[in-house]
Amino acid sequence: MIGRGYRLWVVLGLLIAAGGAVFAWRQTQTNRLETQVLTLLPDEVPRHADLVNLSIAEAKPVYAAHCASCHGADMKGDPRIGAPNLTDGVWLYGSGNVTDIERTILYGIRSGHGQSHNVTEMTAFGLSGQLTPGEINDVVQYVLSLSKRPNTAQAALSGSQIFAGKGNCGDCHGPDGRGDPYYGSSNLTVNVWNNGGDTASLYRSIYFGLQRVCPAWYGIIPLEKIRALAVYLHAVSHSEAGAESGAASGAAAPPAS
Amino acid sequence: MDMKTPRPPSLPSRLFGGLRYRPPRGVAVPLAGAFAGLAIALFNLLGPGSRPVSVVPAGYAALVNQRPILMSDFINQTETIESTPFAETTPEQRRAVLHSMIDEELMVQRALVLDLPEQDTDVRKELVDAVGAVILARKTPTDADLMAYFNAHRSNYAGVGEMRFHDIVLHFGGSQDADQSLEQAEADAHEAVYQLRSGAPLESVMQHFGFVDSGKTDSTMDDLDFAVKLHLGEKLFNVAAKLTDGEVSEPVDEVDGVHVLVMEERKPPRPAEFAVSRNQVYTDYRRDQQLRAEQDNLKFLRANAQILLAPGQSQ
Repeated sequence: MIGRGYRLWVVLGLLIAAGGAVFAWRQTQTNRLETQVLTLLPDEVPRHADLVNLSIAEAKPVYAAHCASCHGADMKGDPRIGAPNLTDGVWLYGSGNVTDIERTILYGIRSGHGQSHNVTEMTAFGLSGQLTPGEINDVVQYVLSLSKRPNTAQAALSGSQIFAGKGNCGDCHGPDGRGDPYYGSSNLTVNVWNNGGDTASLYRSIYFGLQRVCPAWYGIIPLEKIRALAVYLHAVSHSEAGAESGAASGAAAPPAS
Repeated sequence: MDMKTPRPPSLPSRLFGGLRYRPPRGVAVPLAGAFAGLAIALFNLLGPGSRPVSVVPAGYAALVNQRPILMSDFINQTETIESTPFAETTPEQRRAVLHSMIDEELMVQRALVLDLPEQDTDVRKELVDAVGAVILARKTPTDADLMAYFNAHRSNYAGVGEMRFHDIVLHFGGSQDADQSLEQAEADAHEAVYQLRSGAPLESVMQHFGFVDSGKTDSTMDDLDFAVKLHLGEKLFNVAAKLTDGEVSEPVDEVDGVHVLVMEERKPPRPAEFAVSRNQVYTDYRRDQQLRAEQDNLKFLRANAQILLAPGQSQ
């Protein structure tokens, strides 16, 4: 005859075994999805809602630990340190697809890694004496006109000539100021400013130049987390909720295709 | 008689209850530990971590001697070479790119086997330069920083002067077939200087006292100060630099004879101006900033390195 004590042990054992089985099954499922997130080509992941949701869940703590200190918990960036807003769908490097975002996370910007984005940096036009304060003011007026904001027409006209000539601004920003994702030069016509878009901030950017840095996370954050982060940022920047209120409202996964 | 409740069987008894041999209680726990240790050792010996990975992990395009090629690098390389989005490239194009990356990885691995960083001076230089580039200081200077730097290096930003002049020489003591003594040459030179300052033509004075053109400079052309210094030497240049238009120098003794300088035209160096030199100041400041960063880095590396010098080698 089996005593009560033994029955209790058996039931307890079965419960533990069942719990372990459920945990193992869920782990296997998660691992399978994680593997799938990495196995698919980066730009294919956003087509799978379950993978996007998993990536968002995986990436949120990673973002909080490694990215929020510069880009902010709400992902809106910080113009004081030139950290871009990640929710607005405007990207300096590449076209904002998962592949491009992942690459920036992997190798960073001017991070010192050989593969980081580092083709050029914004010259300190005022500090180096390449442009006088008056000329910089004129270029600022022209930049205001490019983003369709109130400006002084005469100064903007002069600024346009400096932009194309003495300042060589068009070499990086393009003759029409629309930027170049290869150089990481900003599109001056969309009125999105990482370092502040008011007159004083624009003057400061041209006078002192810009050499912003983003670290390379390859080797620090596991590869699957980097992929998840890229998918997360892609989802945030491509969702209306993300574009309007950033991560605070959560990124909505697209419908499964 | 005292009735005692029988004690339940102990764990070792339950574990080994069915066995004929029952180990003593004191041995059971160490025995279990030994089994666990053996299992861990076997797992490490035969488990997945103990042998080379035979399947390429997700997120990588290939493993070359266990060194991974990242899928992201492969995609980027393919798009760069083919100028086409990765999804639109053909399997042949992808294959060609991947194999070129594998070849590169193999060559790099071979280079490490050959110990090129130790053996090849070019590789060593490239490595040193690469480390320098990595630690390039990025702190943007302020106007005050640049002004302070300018004031500390003001002489670097002065303009270069120019001069056009005659350098005539009276040889002595057998030099250039001259048989007069140094004293006689000096006396004649002083007389010649007096006559030149009084307005006597240069040619007639030269002819009268036996002066010849030193041939070190061209008196028909303007010469930059540094070129004059190079041709005449420090002593004569210092005399020439102080002369003004039309001025005649005092006689200057040199090894080849007694020289007299007659300045035709002097454009003194432009004094340093911050506004004019700003671009150069900025460039120099950044260069020095990088050098300082490199020095700091070397200081740190040396502090954390074990460097042993052979006897007789200085620290």
